[in-house]
Amino acid sequence: MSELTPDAVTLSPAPEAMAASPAESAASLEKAPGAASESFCALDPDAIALWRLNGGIEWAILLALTFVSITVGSIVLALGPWFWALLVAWTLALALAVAQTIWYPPLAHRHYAYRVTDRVIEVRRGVWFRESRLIPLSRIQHVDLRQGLFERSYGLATLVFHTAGMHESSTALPGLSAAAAAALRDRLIAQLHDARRTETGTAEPSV
Amino acid sequence: MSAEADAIAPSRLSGRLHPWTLAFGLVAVARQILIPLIYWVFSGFGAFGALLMIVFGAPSLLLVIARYWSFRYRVEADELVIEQGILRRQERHIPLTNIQEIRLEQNLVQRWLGVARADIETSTGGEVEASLAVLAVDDIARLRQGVFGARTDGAASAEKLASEETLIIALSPRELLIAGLTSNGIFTLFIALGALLRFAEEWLPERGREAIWRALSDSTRALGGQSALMAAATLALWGGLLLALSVALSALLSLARFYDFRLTQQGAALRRVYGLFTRRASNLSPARIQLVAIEQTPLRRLLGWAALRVDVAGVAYERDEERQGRGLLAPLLRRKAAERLLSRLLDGCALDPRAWQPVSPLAFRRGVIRRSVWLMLATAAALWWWSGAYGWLPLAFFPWVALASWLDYRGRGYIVTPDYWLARQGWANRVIYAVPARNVQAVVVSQTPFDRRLGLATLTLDTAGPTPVIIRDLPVAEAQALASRVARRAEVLAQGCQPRLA
Repeated sequence: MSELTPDAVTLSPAPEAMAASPAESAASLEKAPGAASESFCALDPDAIALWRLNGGIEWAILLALTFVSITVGSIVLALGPWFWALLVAWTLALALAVAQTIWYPPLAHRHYAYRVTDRVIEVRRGVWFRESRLIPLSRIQHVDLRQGLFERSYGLATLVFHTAGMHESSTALPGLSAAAAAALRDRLIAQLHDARRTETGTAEPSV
Repeated sequence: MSAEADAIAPSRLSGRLHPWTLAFGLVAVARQILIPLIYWVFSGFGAFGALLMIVFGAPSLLLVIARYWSFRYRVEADELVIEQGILRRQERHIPLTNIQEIRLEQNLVQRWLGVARADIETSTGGEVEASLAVLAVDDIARLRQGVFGARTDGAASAEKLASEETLIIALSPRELLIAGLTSNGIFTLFIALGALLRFAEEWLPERGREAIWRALSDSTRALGGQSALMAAATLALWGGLLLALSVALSALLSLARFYDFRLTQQGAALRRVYGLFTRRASNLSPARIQLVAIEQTPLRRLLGWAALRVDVAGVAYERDEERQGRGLLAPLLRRKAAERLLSRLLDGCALDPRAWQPVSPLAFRRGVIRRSVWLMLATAAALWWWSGAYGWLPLAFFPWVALASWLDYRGRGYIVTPDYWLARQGWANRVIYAVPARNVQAVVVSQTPFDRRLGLATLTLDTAGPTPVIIRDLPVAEAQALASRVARRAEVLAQGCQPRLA
């Protein structure tokens, strides 16, 4: 196995981590305590349509601006035949943009996944550049639930987890259905509070 | 310990700024109105110049006086209260438990007058919460006592007994000179050259600059024009001169910055005092350490010296000079001593040199390929430039590329223990990072398309400090396993080691 794929074989956790793993609280929604084998959840399929829309709009704006500048530039600078060469390049870019808009979002969707195991959030993503981010639940400073204009019309939402880290301080999890996002957030926050309450109060947050 | 701590009075300690504040404020105002001031002096103390000075200087002067007049601080039962302002009154309450450190800074004049600036740092991070400039040194000591004396937690127990202070490191001028000489002087060289150029541009007249430049180029031509050997000798001479200059400069800088450096331990806290002109003192609670780095330049590796740096969460980085000195826990110490200090800074962290795990051997191949790309580009450029046999010259450096890649591969490694992670890297400048697993904020495993082809991955451990620990070229399965292991471990440690009640 040489790639980070969401459907990759799950790795068994290190023995001492398992031994010291705290018993899951009753409030937890997880089926089995310390279930390292909990499978990844995919994003909402509607995310594909949303990403297509977003990507399409971005491309449209970019290409329209390029077209205008090519035309105006050719007239002002009297480029003559060069204009047609630029136009051919522009058409090629348009074809690429259309292909990318149609073909890329499903691929991105397939490679996007998340799971919560043993109080660690794991988000995997990336088509060319793969990435797997793990955030211990207790490290979360706050959770944002964001809904953009188009996201709202698709009933989707983005969760953003913030930690106190300096470089990888925020992790976004887009393409969740609004209800699922709210439920996940509430569940995580409940687990977080649960852990804080059971602590005897001596341990300060270490940061 | 402190008499104030037992007092029942609502305000245990109160005070205001030292009268010298006014004098320093006056100097600051004078600096602000420097241009009108010069105009005034040169125009023969005319009325217009005076008017300009009043228009530009009076508001600042009034602010300085108002600030001094209205500034009050007091330590109450559980908070530090700072009041200032006449028209817009501001009262800042800082909970005593949030105060991490009261840092003291004095320049030469302030030291002579016995006053200092006190910066109050809190755990909210990023900035100095309040700056008391200036207070008498005794007042600052009393303030420290008032703030930390009443506390019972470990962070402040240091303040209780000054007699507990044990010396960890004291640096003699000789060692400071070594520190300066073995630091990578080439950077100092560039800084010095830049400063010199700017100085020349701003202050030297056009003709003077030309004269100097001509003298330099004439002497070079006169010396080096005779034969190829002389040309090389001249070049070496200039290079050597610059190098000697930069080394001497960095030695002097190091001496001035860290003069009489002392690292001591008071209870739990570490205390650093250093500086020749501007004396700095700061306390550091080991609980705030995010990461410890043992850094070695090539020269220091040869001689067995090292520098010790720490990353601290929530630290105010203000000015460049401070950024350079601040994280440095010890500018120079023996490598063995640095490794021994690890366990003192991070409880139970020991470095076993036999435990280093190598990264994937493919790293060597990748290093050769990556460096060869640069070599190819250099060769292409050289061919384009000379278009002769000389163009192939860069290829002669291939053995060096192979050697560097091999050393790079050998230099990298990591050690995983339940509570600490150690990582080592660098083929010329060697760094060893030690990260407590409890400080890990996020773990990222990433793969570029090249990584995927070779089945490798990069592991990044992020902490609340400025340096992330990055381990490249790990086999992907191993990286993944390590990542989930450290993430889980961090979560377990965060929940405390005591058995949970529920």
